Amino acid sequence: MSRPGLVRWSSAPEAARDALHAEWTKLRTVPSTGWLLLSAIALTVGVSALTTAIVKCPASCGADTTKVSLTGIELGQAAVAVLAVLAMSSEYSSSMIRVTLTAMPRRSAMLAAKAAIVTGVVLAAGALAVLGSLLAGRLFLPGNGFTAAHGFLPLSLYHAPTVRAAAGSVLYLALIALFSLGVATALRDSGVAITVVLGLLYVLPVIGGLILNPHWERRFQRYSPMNAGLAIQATKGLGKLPIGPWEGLGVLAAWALAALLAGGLLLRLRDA
Amino acid sequence: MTTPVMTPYRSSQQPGRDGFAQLLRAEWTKFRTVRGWVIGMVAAAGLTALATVALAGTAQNNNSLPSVATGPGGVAATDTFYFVHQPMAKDGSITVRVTSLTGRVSEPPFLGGAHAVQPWAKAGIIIKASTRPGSAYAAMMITGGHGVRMQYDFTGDVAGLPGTVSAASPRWLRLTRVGDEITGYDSADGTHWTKVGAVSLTGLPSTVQAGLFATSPPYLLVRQTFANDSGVGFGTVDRGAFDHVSLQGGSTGHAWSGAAIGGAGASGTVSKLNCPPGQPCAGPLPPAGFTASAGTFTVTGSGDIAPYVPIVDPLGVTFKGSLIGLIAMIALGALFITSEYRRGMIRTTLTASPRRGRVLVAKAIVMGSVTFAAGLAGAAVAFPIAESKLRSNGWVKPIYPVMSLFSGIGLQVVVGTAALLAVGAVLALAIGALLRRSAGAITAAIVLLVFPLILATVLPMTPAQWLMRLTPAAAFGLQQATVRYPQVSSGCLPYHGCYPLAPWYGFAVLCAWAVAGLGVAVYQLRRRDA
Amino acid sequence: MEATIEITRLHKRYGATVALDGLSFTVMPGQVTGFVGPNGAGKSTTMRVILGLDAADEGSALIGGHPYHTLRHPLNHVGALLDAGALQPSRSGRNHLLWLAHSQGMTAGRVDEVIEQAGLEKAVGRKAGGYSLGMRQRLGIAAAMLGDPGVLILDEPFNGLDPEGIVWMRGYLASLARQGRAVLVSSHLMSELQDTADHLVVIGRGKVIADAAVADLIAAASGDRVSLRTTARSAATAVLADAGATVAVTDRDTLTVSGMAAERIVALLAENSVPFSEVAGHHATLEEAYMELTRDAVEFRAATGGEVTP
Repeated sequence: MSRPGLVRWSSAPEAARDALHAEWTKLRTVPSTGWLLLSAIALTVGVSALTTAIVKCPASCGADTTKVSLTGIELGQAAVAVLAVLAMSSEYSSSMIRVTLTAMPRRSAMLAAKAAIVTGVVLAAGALAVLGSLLAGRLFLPGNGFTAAHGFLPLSLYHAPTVRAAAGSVLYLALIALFSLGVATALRDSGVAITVVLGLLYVLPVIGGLILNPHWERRFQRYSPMNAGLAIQATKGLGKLPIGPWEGLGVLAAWALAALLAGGLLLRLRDA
Repeated sequence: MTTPVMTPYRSSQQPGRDGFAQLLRAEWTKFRTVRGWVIGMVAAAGLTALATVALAGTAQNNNSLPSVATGPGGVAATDTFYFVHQPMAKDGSITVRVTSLTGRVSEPPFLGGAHAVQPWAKAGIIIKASTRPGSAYAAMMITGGHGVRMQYDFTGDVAGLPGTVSAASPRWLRLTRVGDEITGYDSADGTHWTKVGAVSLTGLPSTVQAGLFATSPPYLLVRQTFANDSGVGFGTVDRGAFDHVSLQGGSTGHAWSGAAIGGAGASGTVSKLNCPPGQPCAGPLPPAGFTASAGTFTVTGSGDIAPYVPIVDPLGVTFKGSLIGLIAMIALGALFITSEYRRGMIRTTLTASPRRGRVLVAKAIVMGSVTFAAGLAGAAVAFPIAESKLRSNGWVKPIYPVMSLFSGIGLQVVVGTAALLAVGAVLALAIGALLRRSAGAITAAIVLLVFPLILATVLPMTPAQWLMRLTPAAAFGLQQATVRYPQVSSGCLPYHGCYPLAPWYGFAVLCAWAVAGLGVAVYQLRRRDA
Repeated sequence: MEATIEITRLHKRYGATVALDGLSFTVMPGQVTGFVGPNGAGKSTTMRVILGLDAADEGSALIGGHPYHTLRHPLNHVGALLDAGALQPSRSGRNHLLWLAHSQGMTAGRVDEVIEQAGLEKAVGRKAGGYSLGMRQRLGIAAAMLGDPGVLILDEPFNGLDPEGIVWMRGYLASLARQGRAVLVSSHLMSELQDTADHLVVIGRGKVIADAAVADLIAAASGDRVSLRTTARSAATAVLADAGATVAVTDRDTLTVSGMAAERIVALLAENSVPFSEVAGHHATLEEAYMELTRDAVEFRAATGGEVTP
């Protein structure tokens, strides 16, 4: 018999707030979170800066300077994927998942709270990474011949397609995080989950790029998560893209949603 | 309370074989007794085979095959040049002095006159079985950028005197035929001769064609930036000036006659931009042909006498299907050590075998051997199926020669794929020993091995090639099934399965990474508390 | 090779934390040596240093005169159980023992012997991930016994055993010692060690507090105290105190008297007509002996460390 005074019935918003608070505390109190976010930013800005420093006009005047400046996202996403995978799989490797599910028995709510927190930190880090990359492009590209004489203006956030590419890249990283979180929830083991995530992200584009069949090549470019998602970075020659910028990001969102649904379903059905 | 028995205890267990073999056996037992790992390894091999076969199945050659000559031994060859020749009966020799080699390039943008003579533009003397393209030959020539060469039967290439040719610094060239053997000499002054090489051309008819030739390959401008790569060939011609022409053994009464071998020369126009300084050359490219006056010949030609190297490497590209197996094997390699750290079992391992460096080396050998065996099985099963699928999809000889699983390039691709998977897994193991965490180790290994392939497709060609020289991804060159010849300039894009390093050198780069990783891991394992 | 462990002036620090602070003791063959101390005293660190897993900053830990890492077939000399959970969960118990046997050049036959000794025949075919803590402990013991070593180092082997298992373990350890082996057992269950250990090494804050035979420790802790059961507490206290004894109230009808033999107490009480129902010599438990020793250690620490004990 519990005494009424000790039972605290929380309303749904309160429960959600508590779950968010708990997941936030969990994420921020592990040292690896900070290091991974830092490496996501450093790898993104580093590769972007390197690329913008070595690409030269006139040799590569056909380049899409905005996309070039955001090249680093392709590497930075690996750190984001590790962060999101660990957010879930570390609970399983340490059996802490049982403590978590005892404290928050509504499993989907727990997953949603975790997804929200991971998305939040990735959006913040992603914004810094993207701004750093664009800054590198603005600094290096004019010195490499991407000047008004060749028809290039310095990168600017007053340029609508650039803003779309930049904001889209931040969203891209958040969707990669959600996709990774979903895969990790379904597979539980960090090693297996990161292998599957990076396999889909990195190996599909390589194989798709090598396929000697225009029909299949186009399919790979339209539906592999990285190729499709990164269409959001294009600001030039949109008509020739295999998939439009927002449609491409939508494909990635579908991957993320599918992974989260599968993960959430398995989380509910399986014994913890 | 028991009274202590003070006789020293003697273990009933007699020490077994000492040494490294038992460590290998222990690690092998560890590997084979985790069912998930064994299943994972078999699946990785199966996926390698499946993906390879699937890629071969989809690879359609929709382009019409360029008409190429079939050289001796079945090699696909370009055999296009301007030939000023007369018959030479049986043994004899031809000697010539070359005083200049100039060139013209049609309209490539951004190209100054300095590049007008192609590095592999050729002018010199040739003894050829007949005027049929693809027939056997041996030639001595001066090139635009590679000095004097002796070349024969398309694939043979021997260097002679270096440097470029001019009236002040001419080159003397000589070819002599004795039976089937043809010997090439060069000289700077016409008196002191050096033998460059000798070659036996089997089945040479008794009467052959000997004479002067000139040819110049197209200027290839490869523009590769950010998924928009294009290789454009621009027509070029070169013109060689010869004097002191002497032919011994030529049948008397024959005059020199000119012929464009292998079709028409290049067409196009030359703009002022591309003219060598001080020469009025704007206008159409000069036609192929020759002039002779007072013992001085000028021969103008376009084309190439060289093996034909296709841009796309269908078999090499097909074997990139092994990437799927590779990432599974990377994961297994990393997990083989990180799972010990995760459970604290590393302490049991190091208590049983306190010499830590040997433990890690034993692990690496077991992992490497298992992945090599699995990879070899997967690649060997896939090879004949992929080969025949490619044939039926339009990738046919002579440009895409038939390959054997048991010799030459076919063997290199299959064994190389297995070796690449094995050393990749060992690299992942080394990273796993360093980082002790599976997610981090697997990510680092995939980024090192696979990410360069992605970055290479978006970088300009030069940095992309450096990426393929320095990163572990250089080893993918092992899967290159198209032979690249140094005497043929071709656009070498990682994107098309071409790697700047020779296959086994590329593999050596990966091995160096793995050995360095293992070295650091052994050092750390010995230094750190377990 | 002599079955001994000699620890000499071990020092080990992790960053700012001093784990071992000049630790010295010797574990002799033919007896079970209990290794006890509060949490964080340095027991596990010492065991890891003995096994060459952690490197000491100073000092040495020798097995029969040799550093562990120089042993050719270490499991023939030393068997260790550090963490029963250190298993690949997807590998069966038998296969765990098998790779360990292969690392020493031993055969599967020996694996089956130790499985039988540890009473694990039924469980060994299953994946180790599904074992109870007790089964893992038995598997750990089996692994330690693979090489039939002269020295055994066991970290908390009683953890997770059911009462039947505890009885089995006690008998097993005693029999191993009787065979002439040196057995070092760390534990926090003093009652278990009382029935098992012949010798005790007590450490606190990386230093040895006591290194003595269990019998001597209990005798010392028992002192010359006598417990007295009486309904006339105050009268008895007055009489005995007058005669020079120290009297402490332990319970409603029990007093603990020290500084006076039991015969003299009986004589005094009878002389003064104080009623009593029982006079008995007090026998300290190992637990009490341990508490006394570690209490001293706390006071000692407070004095040297300048801390104030509450």
